[in-house]
Amino acid sequence: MEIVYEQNYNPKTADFTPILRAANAKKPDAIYIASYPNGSAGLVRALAEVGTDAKAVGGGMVGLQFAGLMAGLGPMLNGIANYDFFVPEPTMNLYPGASALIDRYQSKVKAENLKVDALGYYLVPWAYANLDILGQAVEAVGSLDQVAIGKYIRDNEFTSVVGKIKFGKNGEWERPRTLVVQYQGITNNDLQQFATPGTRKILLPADISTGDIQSFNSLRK
Amino acid sequence: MAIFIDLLLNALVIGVLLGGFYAALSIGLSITFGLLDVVNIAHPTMLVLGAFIAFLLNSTWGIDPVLAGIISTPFFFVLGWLIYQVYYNVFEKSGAESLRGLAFFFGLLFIIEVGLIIQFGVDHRLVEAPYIGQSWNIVIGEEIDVAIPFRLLVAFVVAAIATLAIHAYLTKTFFGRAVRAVAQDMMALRLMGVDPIRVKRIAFAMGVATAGIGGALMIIVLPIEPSLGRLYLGNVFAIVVLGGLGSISGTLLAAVIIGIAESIVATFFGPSWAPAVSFGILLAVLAFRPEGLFGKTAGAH
Repeated sequence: MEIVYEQNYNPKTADFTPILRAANAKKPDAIYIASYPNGSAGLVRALAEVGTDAKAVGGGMVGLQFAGLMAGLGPMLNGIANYDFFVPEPTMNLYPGASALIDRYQSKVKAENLKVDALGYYLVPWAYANLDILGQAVEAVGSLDQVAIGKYIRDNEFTSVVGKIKFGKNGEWERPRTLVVQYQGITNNDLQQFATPGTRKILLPADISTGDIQSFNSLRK
Repeated sequence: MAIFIDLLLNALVIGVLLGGFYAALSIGLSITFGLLDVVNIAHPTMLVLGAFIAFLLNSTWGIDPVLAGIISTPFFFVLGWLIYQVYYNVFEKSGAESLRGLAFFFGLLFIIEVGLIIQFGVDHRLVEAPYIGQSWNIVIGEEIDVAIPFRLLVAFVVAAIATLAIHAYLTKTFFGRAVRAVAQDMMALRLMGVDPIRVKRIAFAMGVATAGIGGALMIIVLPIEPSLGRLYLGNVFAIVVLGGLGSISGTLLAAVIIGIAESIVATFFGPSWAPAVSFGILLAVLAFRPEGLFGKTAGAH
C-alpha cells in the first residue's frame, strides 16, 4: 500500500479544511484518520464542507462514539467507517447481559439527570467487564496479591456481560473484539436513532457483521 | 500548477476567515489586557462559558447561536462589572494586582471550568444551525475552486462587525477616548475630574461582554468542552501582543496574519508545524517591534 499523505495535527487546530484539501490533492483511495474528539468532529465537518473522492474514510476516530458528538454531527457521519466497542445491532446479543446493563445505565442517567454519556454503548459494557474480571480474579485468588491476580487473569477464561474473554500471551485479547462499523442512513440529529439498529452497521468481525462496507460517497447526500 | 494555485487560494481564504474567528476570541482580551493592563487569563474560559450558554439556548429553544451570543452579552457585561469590582477592591486598590491578581484570574478560570463540568459534564458539545457543515463553492477555473465553509464565514463576518464596532466606539466616542486615556495616564484623568476606576470598570465589563458573542462563534466553529479555554490561552495572548497592546485594529490584523500563516503552513508543510510558525512570527515581530505591529512606542506616551 502506498501512503501518499501523512500528517499530524495540533490539538488546537480550529479548522481542518486545509488539511483535507492537501490530502485530497494527493488523490487518495482511502483516508485513514487517527484523531481525538476535537479533531474527529473537525474532520467530519471538513469532509462535509470540502468533500473527498476517497472511497473509504475513517479508522481510529475517538469521540464519534459519544452521544453528544453523534447527535451534533448527525448526517455528516454517513459513510465514515470507524472502530467501536458496542453498538445496538442484533448480532451484539451474543454479549449476555450487555443490553440489560445498558438499559439500566440509560434509565439511571435519565432519572438522575447524570452529566455522562447519554447512551453508554461505547464504554459501559467493557468498563463493567473490566471490573467484573478483576473482581472475579480477586475472589478466586482470595487476596490482593497483584502478581497472583495477574497470573490468574492471564491463565483463565472469564465470562462477563460481553461474553467469554481470554487474554493471549501478549496481554491483548486472544481473539480481537474491536468492531469496525460504518455510519449509514442517518437522516437527522436525533440522538435516539443511534439507540436503534441500522445507523452503525457492523463490518468486522465478520462473524457478527450486519452490513457490507459501501463507498464513502454512495452514503452521502 | 493548477493544484498548487487551488491549494494556495483556499489556504488564503480559509486563513482570512480563521483570522476573523481568532479576532473574536482575542478582542475582549485586547481591551482588558491591552488597554487596562488587567491580565485576565480567565478570558478564554469565559469564552467557553459563552459557548455553553449558546449551546443551552440552541439545544433548549433552537435559538440561532449568533443570536444566543447577542442575548448573553448583557449577562457577561454584568459579570465583568462584578469581577472588576472584586479585583479592584481586593487587589488593584492595594497595589497587589501583579501576582495576586494573576492568581485571582487563575482561580476564576478553574471555578468557571469546574462549574461547567458540574453543570454540563465533560462531553463535547455542538450546536445545530443551517450554515454548519455547508460551504459555498466558487469555481474559478479548471481544477481550481474555492470552498468557503459557512460556519467560518459567519464567524468572520460577526467578528469583523464586532471588532470594527468596538474600534469605532473606542476612537470616536467620548467614553472610548476616556478608556484610552486611562490606559495612558490614570492620574491625568483624575486631575480632569474623571473617575478612572469607573471608566476601567465599564471598559473591563465591555471586554468580558465580548465573551458572549465570541463564545457563540467558538461553538459554531468547533466542538467545545469545559477545558477548551486553556488550549487557546497562548493563542489569544499572542495575538493581542502581536497586534500591539491596546490596539483593537492591530488585534484584528494580527489575528488574520496568524490565521493565514496557520492555514498556509497546514496546507503546504503539515498542520503540526502551524503553531510553531505562529509563535515564530510573534517572536520575529517582537524582536524588531517590541511594541507589536500597532502598539505605541514608549516615546509616544
